[in-house]
Amino acid sequence: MRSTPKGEGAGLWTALAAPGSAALTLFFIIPLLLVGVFSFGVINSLGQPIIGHTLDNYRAVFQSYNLSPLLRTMLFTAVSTVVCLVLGYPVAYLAVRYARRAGPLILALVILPWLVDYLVRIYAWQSLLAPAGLLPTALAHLGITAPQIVNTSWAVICGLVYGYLPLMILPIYAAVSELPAEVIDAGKDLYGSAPAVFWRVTFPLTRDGVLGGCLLVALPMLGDFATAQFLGGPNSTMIGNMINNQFTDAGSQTVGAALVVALIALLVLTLAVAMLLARRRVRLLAVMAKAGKPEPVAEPTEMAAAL
Amino acid sequence: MAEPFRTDISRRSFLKYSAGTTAAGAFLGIAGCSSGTPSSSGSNVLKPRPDGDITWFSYQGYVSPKIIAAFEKTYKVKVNQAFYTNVEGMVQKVASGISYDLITTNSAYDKQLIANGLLRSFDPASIKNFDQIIPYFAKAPYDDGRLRYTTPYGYGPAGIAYQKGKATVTGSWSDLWNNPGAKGKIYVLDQQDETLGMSLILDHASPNSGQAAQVTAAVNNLLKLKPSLGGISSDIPTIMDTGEAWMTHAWAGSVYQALLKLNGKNDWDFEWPKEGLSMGCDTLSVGTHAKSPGTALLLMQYLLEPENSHTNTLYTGYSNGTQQGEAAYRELTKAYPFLILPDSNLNTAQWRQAPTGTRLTLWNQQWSRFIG
Repeated sequence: MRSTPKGEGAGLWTALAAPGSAALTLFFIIPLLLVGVFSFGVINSLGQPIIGHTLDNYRAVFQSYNLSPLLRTMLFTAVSTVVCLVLGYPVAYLAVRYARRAGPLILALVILPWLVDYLVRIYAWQSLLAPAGLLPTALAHLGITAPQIVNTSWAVICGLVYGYLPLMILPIYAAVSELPAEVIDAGKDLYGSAPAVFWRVTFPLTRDGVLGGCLLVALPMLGDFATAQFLGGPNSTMIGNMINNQFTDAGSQTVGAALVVALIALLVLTLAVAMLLARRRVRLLAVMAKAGKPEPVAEPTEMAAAL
Repeated sequence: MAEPFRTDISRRSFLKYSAGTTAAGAFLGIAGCSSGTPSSSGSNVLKPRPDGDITWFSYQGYVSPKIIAAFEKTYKVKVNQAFYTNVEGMVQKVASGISYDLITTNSAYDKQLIANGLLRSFDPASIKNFDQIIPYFAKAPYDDGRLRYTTPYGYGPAGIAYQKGKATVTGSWSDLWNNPGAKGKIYVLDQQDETLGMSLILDHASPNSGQAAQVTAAVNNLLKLKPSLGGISSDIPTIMDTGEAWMTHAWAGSVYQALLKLNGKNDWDFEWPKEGLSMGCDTLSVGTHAKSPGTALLLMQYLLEPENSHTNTLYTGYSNGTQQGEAAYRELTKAYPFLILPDSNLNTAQWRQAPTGTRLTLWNQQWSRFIG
């Protein structure tokens, strides 16, 4: 990274960054710290959290009834992330490599639904999948009995995929955009089959985008509760629903705060794993750079060996 | 946790999504603050008189705009409305010391609000239309017993709604458990005080029980019901309209809203289970931090006027515990007489009380066991 010489607008940039930093501190860091503090607190007769030093809230977090929703959340997240990747990668690849001028249009179409509120979109899914909804009704006209979809775990996974798919497509689109076409052509020139070129050349070189997309998709999914609330059944409760319940219905915000801290810990852990994976990638790039290969592009000889 | 008012349940459920954020905001904004209420609030007895513009903290769609417009015109004051989506959020904001004049409170929480000095007392004799309140609500066990802090406004207890021909009923809460043919199409409310309370009543226990054995047994029963459930939801109009539910634990007012939406589609009926009901109602109160408490009390009096009671019941679809309100509700539900709560059920209904302390912990743990 290039270091900025002293006096080269550093003061100006610091001043410009100050309001944003202050807002971040005031509205993000301090509230987050408060959540941490109140996770050790108690509730008064009005349901208000009061500072305390009890571990009871964390004992409540680690009860078996929270474990099932947590494991279910991780499973839903893992499955939905993989589905997002499988669906999103080809779209991003197509948009960059083959759509030419239609590429930005495809991107716009991907982003367009995001202009509509998430809840409205989930409600639309509910109307679509419900027994008297559009899909079962249309199938019934064709003489087909639609299976029960809404109120199942599948409906939640469908909702999660639909809700977060653009977050997978965008970073992959950026990664594929930076991939020189010559590298793929070189792979083909070296008699690599299409799958071999993809797995040995294209995918590894767009892995950062894939990793970024997976993170962008998985992290908010871990905290999602609206999808399960509207599309899920009694056995699709996610950890976000348990937290939401503590804040909105159960009147025990300190337990809710402890659940939030536990969820943040899980997110940090996920992020740490992702960073470890990314570090391996960075190390690889560093080795390549040291060898006088500044671009993360495999040499034809290496590629030939790989193919 | 207590029954919220709803004129459009879908919209309410929609809003519920943001309730987490709202509650979290309230949590961050007010946590640790003392109520800071003057203990002498009870000594300064209010009279209904216009003393400035007011803010009414309530549910959205709780009052006919015509009534507000007429009140503003008559008394030359402005009524600003602030909204909440759940009772817990209301309690948190009121407790934080925000200046609300008139507040739609809830019977389950009134004792706590009064005990913490968050509501202003008033002389019931000074309110012209207090005699409009029907005797059952005039008892007011949730107030200090003499209606000095609140007036009832809006109620509709829960029973069981079901589709004839798809579910069989015997007039008992156990009907939810005894309909294997409706497996996957049975719903219970997603509010712990209602659903856990219902299961406790079925076990002949108090819906406010704090006994671990009773609450555990009630949740064990609910867990037996879980495999038959299609969902745990309070969005009654949606689940009835979309065909997701054949049988559901539901508030009469929500069922009325759903039936309007269904317009005769499917053959729905409703039963008031013989084991009894848990009762909660919305109440109107003047906040301790009110800037114009006289106007707030004046609006309370205005809402209790027979004509306004009638108009508002027709507008919301919920009875409001006044004579004219009851009459309007009967008029409204003429096509659905099964939604009228028989006096026998009303008189034996048990008032819900919001859990606190060890009962709160117990209920939380047990409810989490059910929904988790």
